[in-house]
Order: sequence, then C-alpha cells, then structure tokens
Amino acid sequence: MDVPEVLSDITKITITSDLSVYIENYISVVEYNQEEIILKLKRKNLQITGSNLNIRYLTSNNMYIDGKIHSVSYL
Amino acid sequence: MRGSILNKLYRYFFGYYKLKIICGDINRLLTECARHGLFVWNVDKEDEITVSVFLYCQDLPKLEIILQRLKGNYIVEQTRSIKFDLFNLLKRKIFVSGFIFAFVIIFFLTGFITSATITGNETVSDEEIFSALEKSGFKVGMFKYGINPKEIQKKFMINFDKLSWIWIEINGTKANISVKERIPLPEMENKNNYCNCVASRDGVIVEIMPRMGKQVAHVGDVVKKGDILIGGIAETKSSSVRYMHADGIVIAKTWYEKSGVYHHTRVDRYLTGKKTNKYFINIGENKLPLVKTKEITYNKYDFEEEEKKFSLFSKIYLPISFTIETYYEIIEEDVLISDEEVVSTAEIALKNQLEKEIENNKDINIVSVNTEHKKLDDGNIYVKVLLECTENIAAHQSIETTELSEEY
Repeated sequence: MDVPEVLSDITKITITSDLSVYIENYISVVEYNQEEIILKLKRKNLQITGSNLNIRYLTSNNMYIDGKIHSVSYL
Repeated sequence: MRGSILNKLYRYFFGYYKLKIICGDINRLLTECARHGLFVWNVDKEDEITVSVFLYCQDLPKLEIILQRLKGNYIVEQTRSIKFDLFNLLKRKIFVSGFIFAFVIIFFLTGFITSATITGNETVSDEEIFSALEKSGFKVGMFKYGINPKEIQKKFMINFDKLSWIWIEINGTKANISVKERIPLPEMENKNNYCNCVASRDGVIVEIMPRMGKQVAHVGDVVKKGDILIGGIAETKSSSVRYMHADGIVIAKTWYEKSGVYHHTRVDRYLTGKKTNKYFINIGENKLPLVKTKEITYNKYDFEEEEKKFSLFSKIYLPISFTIETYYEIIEEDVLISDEEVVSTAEIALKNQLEKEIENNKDINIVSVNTEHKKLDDGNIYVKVLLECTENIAAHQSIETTELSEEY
C-alpha cells in the first residue's frame, strides 16, 4: 500500500511550464524576494529563481509560487 | 475558472483583510504563519521590511500574536466580507427604507386575489356561483391571507343547493374553484295519481311493455300524439270501474324533420394582411389606453384580444396586466357554388340543427337520416332532412275520476 506523501516527509514539487511551482512539504522560508525564493526542506534547501516571483498562497505544508520561473534547484 | 469564482465567494462569505505588514524578518514571518496554520495568499513583498498579504478575518488574532513576538506591525488596507458590506448597507437609511417599502408593496399587492376560475360546472353558470360565493365571504379582490376555505365551503353549501361540493384552492394570487353539480332527484311519482299512458308524439309502435294498466295500443299501430297507449281505467268482474296509475315503456319509431331554401352563393372571408393594434393597461377593473391610436377604418374586420398578466415566480399574479386588441381587415366575397355543394352544406347544417334539438332527450336513438332536395323555379334549392328515430313515447296524462264516472 502506498503511503500518501502528505503523511510522509517527502517533498513534492510540481512545476507548470515556467509559470508556477507548487511545493508540498517544506519546513520554512529562508529567503523571499521577486528574483529568488529559498525554502528549507527536510534534507536540503530548494532554490527557485526567476522574475516577478510571488507567493500566491501558503499554508502550513504547501506553497504556490507564480511568476517567470528560470530555474528550480536543490542547494 | 469555476474554482476561482468559488474561492472568491468562499472568501467573501467568511471575510478577509488585505494587510500591509511591517516586520524586520519577512522570511521568519512567513514561516511562522505557515507553522501556525494561517492561510495567507497574494503575498507581495514591497521592500525588505514590508509585505502585503491577504488573510481571513478569523486568523487576524493569531497573526497579531506572531507580530508581537517578531516586533512587527500591520495596517488594514482593505476589508471584504459579506457581514461588513451588509453592515455598511444597513447604515444607508434611505436605501434600507426604500427596500423595505418595495418589499411591503410587493407583499401587499401579491396578497390579494386577482382572479378566480371555476371548473366542474356544466349547467350552473359562473355568475350564479360567484354571486353565492360573495354571500359566503369570498370574492375576487379580497385579501388572501384571511380566507378560510373550509368556512366558506360550509356557508356556501348551506346557502346554495345546486352544487353538491365546492373547494377553493389559492395558488399565488389566483383562486381555483372546483365544483360538483348536484344531480337532481327524479320526481317521485304519486301512485295514487290515476293516469293513462299516452303518446308524447306521433309514431309507429315497435315495442310495448306495460307495467301497470290495461294495454290499449299494440305493436305496429300508428299512433298520434295524445292517443292512449296503456289505459288507467279497467272494468272489474263486478262491472265496477277501477282506476290505476298506468305505467310502462312504449318504444315507437318517430320522425324529426327540418327544411330550408338555400342559394347558390357562399360568403368567403379573406384576410387582407392589414392589421391594427391597440394597447391597454389594466389596473384592477380599469382598462386604460396606453398609446393613442387612430380609429379603426376597416369596413369589416376580425377582432382578437390578448391579455398578458404580470406574475412573480409564475404563480403570483399582480393586479396589473396588458391587453392587446388586434383588428384584422377582412373582405367578404360571394362565391358561386354548385348544386351538389349547396345540398351537402344544407344537409350538414340541417342535420346539426336537428341533433341539437334532440340532444337533451337521452332516450332517442337515431336510426337513419334521409335527405330530399328539389330545385325551385327561382333557381334556389329546397332541402329537407328527415331523422328517423326510436324513442320511448309513453307520457302520463291524469284522469279526472268524476268526469269519467259520468262517462261510464
């Protein structure tokens, strides 16, 4: 039986073209500005770079970022 | 698209703020918001220490606690909630008064019965029923909330004996009145009333079944109106006279005829296509012209009237309606028709007239229809239709005992 990701610590990242990124299971916000957003994950950090980046909404586990995405990488 | 509309409605219903937050550590602020389960959206960082967010009203106390810890502050830039908007609306006294006034007017107008229809009556007229209903406490134009159908039914049945049942159903501003006519009791025959059975019209007897009395006529006899068929007087063995209430069934062949003289012309009517409309507004019982229209100049015309009522939710009718009167110009032309057409048209018309005359008598059976026609000297055609029927021709005729004693 597959354990749903929400119950586990696995981060799930959904990228839609270069328009938006949806992150499930992050821990905290390290850096936030219109060109760069860095999020702390369980083991690594996630860096999203682009322009006009905005946090469309955030909850305790999930975040939806939109704007012009240039790259998504782990740090 | 649908999701975003639903989201907007949801947020509007629960209420939200647009806040400008000033805080030294924006990243920590966002992390704390997430940790405390706050849902924030449209996060827009304006500078290093300022960010604008949207937040549900119910989450503001939690945000205040976070800001207290982070030594931050916030300004409410915008508030959107249905409660807030309603509260602002209620502050506008003229608007609220107008709304209440309009609501009262509509409630008032739709609280009256504007029309009533009667169903189920065949011989009793609508006017009679309405007049009796008025005496029992119901009429068109009365306030519907005071109507008690059971009370009205009780009073009506006491005062009006032509109906066996009545019920009033109020549907919006219309009243549907259902009735059932009373079947009149057959007249009780007084068996002590001595009488003969006589023929009610001329005919040839095909069957005779006396129930009481002395049979006088027989099958095959040609009888005239008034002839005694079953006698109510009989001689007893002791030569005295016995009087009876003669009764029985006497089936005879009878004839009904109708005739007329018919011409070779038929009047045909054609619409020319020209029409004129007149518009009226009805307020209660008054009919007022809406627009001034010129008088109808057609020599001959057909007239049609259409009433359009205003209704709310298709059940509640307001006491205001429009009437459109339409006048269609027609021309009449005399058309020459053949002899055969004259005869067939006349036959149908005469037959219908005869059937209408005898329709009330349910004992009559039509056996055959015969038509005769003859061309007259002036060119017109004389047409006669004869209906051959069978019916019960027995009728009672009282016997005057003193007169008869003298005869005997």
